[in-house]
This record gives sequence, C-alpha cells and structure tokens, in this order.
Amino acid sequence: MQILLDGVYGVLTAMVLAGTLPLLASLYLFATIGRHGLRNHYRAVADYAPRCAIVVPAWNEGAVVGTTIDRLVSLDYPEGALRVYVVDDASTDNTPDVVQAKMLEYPGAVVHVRREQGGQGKAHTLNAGLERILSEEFAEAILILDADVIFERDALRKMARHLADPTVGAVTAYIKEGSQPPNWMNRFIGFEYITAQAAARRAQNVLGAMACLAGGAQLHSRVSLEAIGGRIDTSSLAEDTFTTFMTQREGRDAVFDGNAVVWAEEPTDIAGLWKQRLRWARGNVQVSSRYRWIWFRRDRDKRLGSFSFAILWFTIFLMPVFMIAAATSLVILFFVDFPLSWKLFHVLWIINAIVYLFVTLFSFTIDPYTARRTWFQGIMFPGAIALIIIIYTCFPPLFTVYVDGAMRWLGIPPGHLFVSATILFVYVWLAASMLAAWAAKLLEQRGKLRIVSPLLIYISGYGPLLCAITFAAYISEARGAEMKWDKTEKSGKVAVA
Amino acid sequence: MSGPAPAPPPWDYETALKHDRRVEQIILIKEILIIVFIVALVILRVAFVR
Repeated sequence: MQILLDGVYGVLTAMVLAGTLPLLASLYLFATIGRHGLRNHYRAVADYAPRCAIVVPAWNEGAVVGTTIDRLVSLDYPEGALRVYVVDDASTDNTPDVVQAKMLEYPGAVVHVRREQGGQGKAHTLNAGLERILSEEFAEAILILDADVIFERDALRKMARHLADPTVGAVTAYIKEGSQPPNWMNRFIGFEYITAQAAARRAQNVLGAMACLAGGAQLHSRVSLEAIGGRIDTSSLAEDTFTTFMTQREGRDAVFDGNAVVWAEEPTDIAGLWKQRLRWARGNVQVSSRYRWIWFRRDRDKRLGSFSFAILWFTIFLMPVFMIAAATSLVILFFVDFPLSWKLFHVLWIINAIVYLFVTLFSFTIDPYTARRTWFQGIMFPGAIALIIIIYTCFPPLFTVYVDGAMRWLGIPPGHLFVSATILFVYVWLAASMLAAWAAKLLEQRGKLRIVSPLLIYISGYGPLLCAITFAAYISEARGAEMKWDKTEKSGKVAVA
Repeated sequence: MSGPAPAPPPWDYETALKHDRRVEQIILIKEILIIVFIVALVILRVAFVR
C-alpha cells in the first residue's frame, strides 16, 4: 500500500514539476539568444540583390494594396530587379482597379494576377502567383508577403544578402506590430512579437532550426522553392510552417534577420486575435502530427529532429496541458500532503518569477522602440493575479505583514477557511487563468459588458489567453472542425515608426 | 524652417552590415548584464528575505 501511495505522490510531483518545463524551455531559448552575437549568418552574407518577384495575395485589400505597391516599388533595391505580382483572389471591392492603376503608374514593375474563383485560402492564392512567376524567367528569388505589411526601405536588401549563401533556402524578417494609434491589444501583440520573433527566431538561428518563416515576410531562393515543388502546402492551416519545414527538409537553411524590419497591422480585439491564433494553433497541431516521425529523431533530420528543437516546439505546443496538469496535481496534493504541495508550489512559482524577470527585461532591451510602446503590457503579460503570486513567492513578508494588517483593518478574520481557500485559488490559478481569459472573450461579445473584457485580460493575462486559444485548437482538431480560412480584417492603419 | 524630409541615405552594404553586427553584439552584452542583475537579485533575496 505504501509503495502505491509513494508512486501516486511521485506521479503528482512529476506532474507539478512538468509545469516548469515550458518555463525552463523559455529560459533556455532566451539564454541562447546572446550567442547570436557570436554565431550568426552575417559571416556568410554578400552584397547580393537577386531579381526578385514579390507575391502579394490580395482579397478585398482595396484600402491598403495601393500603398503596399507604392512602398514595394520604392524599396531600396536595384532598378529593374523588382516585380510586384498582386494575386487578386476574386476581390469584390476596388482591388482590381487599384492594381490596374498602379500597373499604369509603374510599367513593367506591377503584374495583376486575377483569380476568378477565390476564397480557398491564402495558400491557393499564393500558388496562383507562384505558378505565374515560376513560368517566367525573371525571378531569382521570390518574396511572399501579406498585402497590409510595410517593409522598411532596406528590409528586402537585408533579407536578400543572405541568399548569397547557396545553403540558405529562405529568409524571414522581424514583423513588428505597427498600428497607429495602437490599442491595448495591439500593444500586447507588439510585446509578444518581441518574444516570439525578435527573440525566439534569433535563438532558432543559433540552434540551426527555424520553426516558422513569418507569413508576412518570407524570401525564398527560386532554387529552394522549386525544390519543394514550387507550391505552398494547401492541405493545412499552417502553410507558412509547412513551407519552412519543407525548405529545411530539402537540406537548406531558413534564416531570420532581426534587422530587416517589416510593419504589420494586427487584431484589435480578443475575437480577432482568437480567430487568427486559432488558425495558427490548429496549424501547429497539424504540423506536429504530420511530422511525427522526425520529432526527437536527429538521425532522420539533423535540424528539425534535434532534441532542443523538439523540446522548444512541444513545450509551447503542449503548454495548456502542462498548466492543467500542474494545477490539478497541486490541488490533489493539497488534500493528501499539504507540506509537499506547498514546497512544489514555491518551486514552480520561483522558477516562474526568474523566467518572467529574465524574459521581460531581455525582451525590452532587444527592441527598445517597441518596449517603450508596450512596457505596461510586457509587465502585465502573465496577468495581475500571476504577478501577485510571483511577488508573494519572492517576498512572503510583504503578505504576512501587510496583508494580515490590511485584513484586520478591513475586519476580515484571517481564519483557517480563508487561508485554505486562498491557497487553493492560487494552486488552481495556472489552469483557471485560461478559463478567465476565455471568459474575457465571451464578455467581449456581450454588448455593454464588452468594456470589462480588456480588464479581465489584464487580470488573467495575455499569456493564458494564448494558452486558452491553443487548448481550443486541440478541441477543434479533435472534433475535425472545418479548415476554414478566416481572414483577419485590416483597416490600413499601420505606419512605419 | 521646415522643408521636405531629407531623403534616406542610399543603401551602403558595408555600413548596414557593420551596424547589424553591432546590434547583435549589443544584445549579447545586454543579456550578460541582465543575467548578472538577476543573479545578484537572487543572492540578495536569499541573503536578506526570510
């Protein structure tokens, strides 16, 4: 009986400690970034500007596509070496008129590829453009982007220089959230993009395996694109990730240049974010399943099969599972072995505190401009309640002295029941924060209560909101939900800083 | 006096490369400083907070 009990305690302890895995993976990822200063691809670049075809998928982008073309044509790039292919996915607004006008304005530099039957998704639209481009001799490199993004003038030059190295198949840039003026959600996304792009992709450069080329800015060499079939995968919701994986599977590197900057407009509310990220997260479920034979198998793929890449991939992909497992185990241990649960709770949250401090401070310094715009959202990323728990685990006297005093002043007896309820609440918060973030999404759709939803995200956290979306993606995929391309609405309010 | 915005400098490969390499090296230095700062905080926390 004792052996059985020890086994159960061992499993519960392991489940709580598994909750530290995503944290430790983040710590490893961010600790790797600095090495990019010593080990980057700049040693192999050259002043190289291949003839470049730019594919702009456009569906009802009349508000933004004209500006996009103007900016692309005026990029700092050798004259005659750029051609913009706007693939109009059966738009019903004035997109065709805008593109036709730009063709007259920039003769030979703009091509209108019209699809009469659209709505099949971005990958199909891109393929129509790629088919046209690869049927012509012009392109030595192909830039795939979104219609609403704005490239800084030297961004394409900075990306193209990496293609001087024939071992590089594709290059991606740093996409920044550039809505002007930004609202609270734009600011959260702006900070998230420092961590997920400027930081994580530098680390992936060092590790030699790229998880995903940013859909809004990916430059492929023609040779590489032809080697993967000259087409973008249409069988999933993660065409960018599949393209990235296929490029690397063909033996070429995918490289990130954090100094090539592209500005994009991102969702302004929870519903918009949920729609966009559910598609991404479902795509990641599909990628994880499709490439199940290479995970942790370096003998099958030295880049994507590496242990470090698989750990980084799965700790993010399975983060909701780790959070739920840790919270559930803590609650069970609370009832069966409180001292053990209390110790594990502290281990979990002290690691959380160290990782939070490191990731937040380091992210601020990697992109100081965005940090000035998003510092508050960066601090509030895990949510107010998680921050209070972090402060408590680091400085318990703050609570034992001041909170006790405050409770007495308010007339709340610090009895056993209150303390137990509070402890249970903080134990369960890792999982409950996802529920609270989901509740914020529901509130956003409820008329007057809509104004409460941002507040609820500040309390529950933007990180838990992303985890809730990932969890929703598991459910959607398990239910075999329809693979529908839900386009993110854009208003053209993005601007270069 | 206000006038048209000055034209951005033309692409200079060497200057851009030098700048970008320096950015990466500065990130490395910042990382080291932040790690030192956090380690110092942890030491102080262990030493002074009971």
